[in-house]
Amino acid sequence: MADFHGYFAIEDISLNDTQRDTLIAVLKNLGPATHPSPACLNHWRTRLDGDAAIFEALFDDAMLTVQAFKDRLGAIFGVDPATIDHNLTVFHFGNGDTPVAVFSHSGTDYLRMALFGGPEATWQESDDERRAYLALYAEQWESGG
Amino acid sequence: MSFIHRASNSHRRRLGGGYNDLVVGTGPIAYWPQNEPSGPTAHCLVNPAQNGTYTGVTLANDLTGPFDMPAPFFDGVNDYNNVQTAALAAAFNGDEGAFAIWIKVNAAGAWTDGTTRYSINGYVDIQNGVFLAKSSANNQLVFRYEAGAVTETITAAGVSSTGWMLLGQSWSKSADLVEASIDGVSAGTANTLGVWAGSLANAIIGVKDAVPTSPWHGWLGPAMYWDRPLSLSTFQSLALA
Repeated sequence: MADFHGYFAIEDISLNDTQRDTLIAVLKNLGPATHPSPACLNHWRTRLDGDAAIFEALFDDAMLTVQAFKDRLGAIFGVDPATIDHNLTVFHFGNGDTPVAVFSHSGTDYLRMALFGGPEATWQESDDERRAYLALYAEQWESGG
Repeated sequence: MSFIHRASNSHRRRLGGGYNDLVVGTGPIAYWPQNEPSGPTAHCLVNPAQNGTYTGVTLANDLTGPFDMPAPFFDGVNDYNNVQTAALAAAFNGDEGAFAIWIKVNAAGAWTDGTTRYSINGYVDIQNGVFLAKSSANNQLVFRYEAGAVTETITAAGVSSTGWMLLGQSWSKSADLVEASIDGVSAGTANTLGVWAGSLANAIIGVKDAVPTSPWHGWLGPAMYWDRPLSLSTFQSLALA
């Protein structure tokens, strides 16, 4: 177990409302319950269409692994986590590495998860990747003002 | 080393206290120095019932903020200070008022990032509200007053400072005038004001709303509201004290 202060994103591909709400409720509870720094407490941002969100906190990195997400999805679907598949691709939104996993079950993709900067990133490195990602998809995330 | 550190902090508190006294002396209805070293609470020095709540901000990130007060960093994605309270809503005056906030962008590139970024926003609904923001247009600030769906927008172009600036805006229905300022210097005026309707429902620092959208990227220092328009000379005294 190690601390990861940074950002990760999820994107709902084909979860139903109940599945998505359950997953989000779990993810909102990651990180410390109390901390003197608000930046280390779990907080999030929702994409304008409501189908994606970015979370930030001082996370236990064991909670952000592929297996941890398979366990969550298995519980949500009521299936053995071993039956949850994934494809992992490393993106470079900025100068860093951002692993992006797509989770599927029975041939259907359900969820995309991106760990900005990867598990070894510093907060600044994760922030740089997150910022580059948002710049790339600004239309989906930013209101017109 | 520890002695120097303590001496330095003491110095900052003294300077901060002096500036706090100056602001409070102008009779604001709300004043958040945003200089806390830790914790979720953004203390209002006018009325503790108007304390705000930080989400995500990195407190005291800039130890040499305005008047050497530490200032928090807003990451441009999901950080904000929610200052909406019943007490502020009761004190807020949509017909006659003013507000101001110290801003500093993350870096020069922030002025050309193509994104609208709010520093402070107070609104009833989409037809009645005030905000100060960085425009999605390059190197531009936006000062907005909207009452009864009548919008007054003042823009300041060619802004490229990476230092601290005090943005301010006054509004007066009786004088039919809105005036924006940067460091106490007028950035423009507008008139033919609409009729404000409703009670303040959202007051927030660092974003447009609590979704959050249009988040500030950089530092935000002391923020304040008044229930009367402020003169440029008063804004200038707050900028140059």
